[in-house]
Amino acid sequence: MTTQQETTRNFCIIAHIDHGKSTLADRLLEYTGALSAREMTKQVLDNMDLEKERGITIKLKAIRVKYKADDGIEYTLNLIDTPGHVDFNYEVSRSLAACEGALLVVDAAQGIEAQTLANVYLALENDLEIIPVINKIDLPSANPEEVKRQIEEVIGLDTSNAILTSAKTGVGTKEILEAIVKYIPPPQGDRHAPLQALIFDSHFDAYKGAIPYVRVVNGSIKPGMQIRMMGTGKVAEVTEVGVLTPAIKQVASLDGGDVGFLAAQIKNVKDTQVGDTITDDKNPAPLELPGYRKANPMVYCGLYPLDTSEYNELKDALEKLQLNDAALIYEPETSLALGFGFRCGFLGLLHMEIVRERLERENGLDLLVTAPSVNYRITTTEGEILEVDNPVNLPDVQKIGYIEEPYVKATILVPSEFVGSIMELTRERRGTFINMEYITEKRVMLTYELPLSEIIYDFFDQLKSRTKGYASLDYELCGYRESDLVKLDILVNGEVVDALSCIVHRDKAYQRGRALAYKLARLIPRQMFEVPIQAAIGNKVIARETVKALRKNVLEKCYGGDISRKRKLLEKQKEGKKRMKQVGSVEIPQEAFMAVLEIDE
Amino acid sequence: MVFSYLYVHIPFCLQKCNYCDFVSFTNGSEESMVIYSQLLENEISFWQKQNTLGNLQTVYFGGGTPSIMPVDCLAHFLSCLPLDKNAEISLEANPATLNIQKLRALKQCGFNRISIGLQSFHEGLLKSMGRLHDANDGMIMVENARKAGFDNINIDLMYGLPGQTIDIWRDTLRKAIALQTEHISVYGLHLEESTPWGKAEASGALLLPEEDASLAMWQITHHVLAKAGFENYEIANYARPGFACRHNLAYWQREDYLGIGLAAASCWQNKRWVNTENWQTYTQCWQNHTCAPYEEEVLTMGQVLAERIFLGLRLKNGICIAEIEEQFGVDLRTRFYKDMLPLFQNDLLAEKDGFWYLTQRGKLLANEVFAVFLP
Repeated sequence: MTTQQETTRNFCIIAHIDHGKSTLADRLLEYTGALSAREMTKQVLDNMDLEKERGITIKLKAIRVKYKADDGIEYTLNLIDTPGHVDFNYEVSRSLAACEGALLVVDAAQGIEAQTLANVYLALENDLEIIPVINKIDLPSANPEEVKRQIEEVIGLDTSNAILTSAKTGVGTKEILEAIVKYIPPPQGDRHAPLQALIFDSHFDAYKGAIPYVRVVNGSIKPGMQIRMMGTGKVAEVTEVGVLTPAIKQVASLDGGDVGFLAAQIKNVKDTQVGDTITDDKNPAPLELPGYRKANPMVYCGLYPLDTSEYNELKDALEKLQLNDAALIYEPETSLALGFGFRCGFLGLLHMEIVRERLERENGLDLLVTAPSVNYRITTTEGEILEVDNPVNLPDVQKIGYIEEPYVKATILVPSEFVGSIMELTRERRGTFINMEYITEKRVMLTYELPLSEIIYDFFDQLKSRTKGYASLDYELCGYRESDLVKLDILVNGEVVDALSCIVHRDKAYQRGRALAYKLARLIPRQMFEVPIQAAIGNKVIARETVKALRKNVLEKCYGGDISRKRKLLEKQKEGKKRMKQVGSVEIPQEAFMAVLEIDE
Repeated sequence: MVFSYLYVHIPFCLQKCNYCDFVSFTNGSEESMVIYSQLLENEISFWQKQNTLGNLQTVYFGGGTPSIMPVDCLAHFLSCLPLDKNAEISLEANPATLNIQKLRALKQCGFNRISIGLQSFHEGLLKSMGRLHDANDGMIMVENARKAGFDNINIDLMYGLPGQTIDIWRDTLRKAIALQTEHISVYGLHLEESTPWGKAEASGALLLPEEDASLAMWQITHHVLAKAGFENYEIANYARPGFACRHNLAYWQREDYLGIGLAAASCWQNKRWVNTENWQTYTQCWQNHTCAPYEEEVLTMGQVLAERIFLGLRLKNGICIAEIEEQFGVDLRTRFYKDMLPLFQNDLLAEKDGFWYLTQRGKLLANEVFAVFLP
C-alpha cells in the first residue's frame, strides 16, 4: 500500500539565467494537465509583469500537480520555483530547503555557466538528489554529449540518467516526470509528531493577511488550529490551508512532506518570517527547524520622492513592498540636496531596479534614486569602527584611521580566447587573480577577488561586451579588505550636492571625477543661467565643466488660433521639469544621480 | 454666446511646404472648393440661427492657402456675414496664386488686409522650403496688392532655415523693408515631427544654423525693424503704428472667437474646441446641415488664468496685473511668487506701471516664463 507521503515528490528547477527554466516549468504543468495549452499564458510561474518583461523569475512559488506514472500510481508533485539571477541566490537556498530533489537544467548549446555551478553547490549542500536535464536539444548548435561531459567532469555528477529535452518542442517532458518519480526520494517525516513547518516564502494579501508558504516537515496543519511561529512567538488561528494548482485550491490539511500555503489573519508579514518554524500552539514541537541566514544587503542607495510632498506615500509604498520582499531594508535619511527620503539596502543592482520599478508602477510615484554604494567599514584614529553605506556619512579625513571595503570572490566562465580580456577587465577593476582552471579544452573558469564596489559599476555589462556575451559570472561576499579610498564630491553651481558624492579608490579619483563632471554637464539641461559643475576631493577641485545658459526657447507661430496646442506644448515642458529635482536653483534630472554608474572612462 | 471675431480655415494649397503641418490638401479641384465654400456657408448659418454672431470686428481667412479659392466664393461668403462697418477682413495669400486682377477682385469684395507669405527672398531657400514662387513673384505681388488698393499689407518671413546665413537674413530684411508694408510677421522655424523637415531633422539629415547664428538673426530683426519704424507689438509681429493685426490681438487678449471650416479652433470663455480634421466627416455632416464633430476641451480656472497670462505676456505691454486679479479674484503675486522670483532675478520678466512684461531676454525664453503660470 502506498501512503500519500510515499507518492509525494518535492522538487525545484535550478538553471543559469536563460537556460529555459520557466519554459520547462510551463511544459511540466501543461503535460500534467494543470493547465491546458490554451490556458497557458506564456510562462505561468513568472506572474509579476516585471518578471515577464525581463524574462526572469523573482518571487518563488510552489505549484502542485498530479501525475499518473508508468507504474500506474498517481503522484503528487510539488514544483517549487527558484529565481535565476545572482542577486537572488539567497532565495534559491530557501526553496532548496523545501525540496528533496532538483532538476539541473543546462543549455545544450551553451553548457555549464557560472550560476549553474553556484546553484549545484547550493543543492549539494542541501543533500538534494540532482537530475541533470539537458535542454534546447532542438537548437542546431546543441551538443548534448559535450554538455554531459562537462557535468561529469566539472561538477562530478553521474549523467547516465541525464534527460535530453526541448522545453520548446516538448520533447522529453514525460521522461523528466518519470525521472522525478523514480529518482527523487519521497519526503520523510512523521505526520503524527508535533507540527514543524518551515516558512520558505510569504506574501501579503489585502483580504487574508500575510500568507506564509510552508514545507510541512512533521505533523499537519488544518483550519481551526492554533499555530505559533516559534521564532517570533506570534500565535494565530488557521482559517485556510491550500495549494496552488496553479489556481488557488483549498485543501483539508497540509501534512508532513506537503508544500502549500496557509492563511491565519496575520496582519503583519513580519510575524511570519521566512525561515521561521510554525508549530501547534497546543502541542508544540521541542525544536525549531534549522532556518536560513538572514539576507544581507549588498548595495545601498537613497530613494527620494521627486515631489517632496510624496514622502509619506513613499513610506507607505516601501512598507507595503517589504511585506512581499523581506530582503528589502530601509530607513529614513535626509539629504541636504534632496530633502527627506530613505536609505535602502538591496541584494544587488537588479533587485534595486526591480524595487524602484515596482514602487513607481504600483504606487504611481516618481522616484529619484541616488548612485548605489556598498557598505564601507571605517576604523577611526581613536579605534572606533563605523559602518558607512552613504558617502555623505564618511567622517573627516583627519579622523579616519583606515577604510575597508567589501570584497567578493567572483567566478567567471568564459571561452579560453577571452582570458586576456577578462584579465584586463579585472585589472582595471582592482581584481586579484586567484585561480584558472580549464573545464573543457575551450572553456576556462577564472576565479578572482574583486572589490564589490567595482562589480556594481557596470562590471557585468563590460564583461558581456568584452566577451561577445559568452562570459557568465557568479560571486559571493568574501570579507573586508583595507583600501586607499577617498570621497569624491560634486559641486553644481558652486554647491556640494551630497547625493552625488561617491567613495572611490584614490588612483581612480581624477579619472572618475573628470568623467563624472563631463557626463553631468551633458545630462543637466541648460538653465536660465550658466551652471558650473566641479568634481572635488576635499577642497581641491579636480575637474570642471560648464552647462551653458539656455538662450532661446520661444514658440513664435500662432497655429491659427489653436491655443490649446500651444498650451499643451507648454504643459509638456512643465511636465518635463517636474521630472527633475530642484537642487538650489538648478534643476537636475533623475538620470544625473545615476550618472556615476554609466560613465565611460 | 456671441462672437465678434471669426476665423475661417481654407484647407487647400498648390503644394505642401516642407515645414507645414496645418491641415490642407494639394489635390483640391475648383469644384471641391466651390462645395467647400457652400459648406462654410452652411456652417455659418448654423451659428447665425442661434444668434451667436455679433457685429463681426474681424474676419480672418487662414490656411492652407485662402487665396487659392475662387474670388466669387469668398465674396459670396463675406456677403452672408454680419460685418461691422470698420471690420478688419484679412486674407492669407501665396504669391503663386495671385495676380493683379485677382487682387483687385479681392479688394472689391471687401477684403481690406492681405497677408502675403513671402518667407524669404533667397531663391535657394524658397525652393528648399517647397515654395512655388520665386523672390521676384513675391515682390511683384506686394506691389500689385498696393496697386489693387490694399493699404494694410503684411508679409511673413522665416528665419533659422536650413542653409540660411546671417547675411542672407540681413538681405531678406532689407528687401522686406523696401516693400514698405504696414506689417511684418517673423517666425523662427519650428520643426514639427510629421513634416518632411521634421523627419529629416530626426534622422540627422537637416543642417540647421548654429544656435549663435539663429540668435543673431533674431537680434538683427529687432534692431533693423525698429530702426525702420516697426513696433514689435507681439513676440513675432511687427507693425507700423496703428496697423497691429486686430484679429491676432483678439487671440492674445483671450477674447472669444469662432473658427469655422475644417480643423478650425474656437474659444468661448473656458471652452476651446477644434473642428474635425476629416474631410469626409466634415463634408457629409455640413451637406446635411448637421454640426460636424469637434473636439472640445473644458479648461479649469487655473488653465484659463494661465492662458490669460501667457497670451497677454506675448504683447509688448504685457499684462495689467490689477485687471487680471479683478477678473479672476486672485492675488497674482501670492499665487506665483515662488516660481516667478527666478524670472525677475534672471531678467526675463519686468514690472512697470502695474504691468508685467517680457524683457528682450524674456522674449527669447518666453516658454520658460509661460510654463511657470501653468497649473
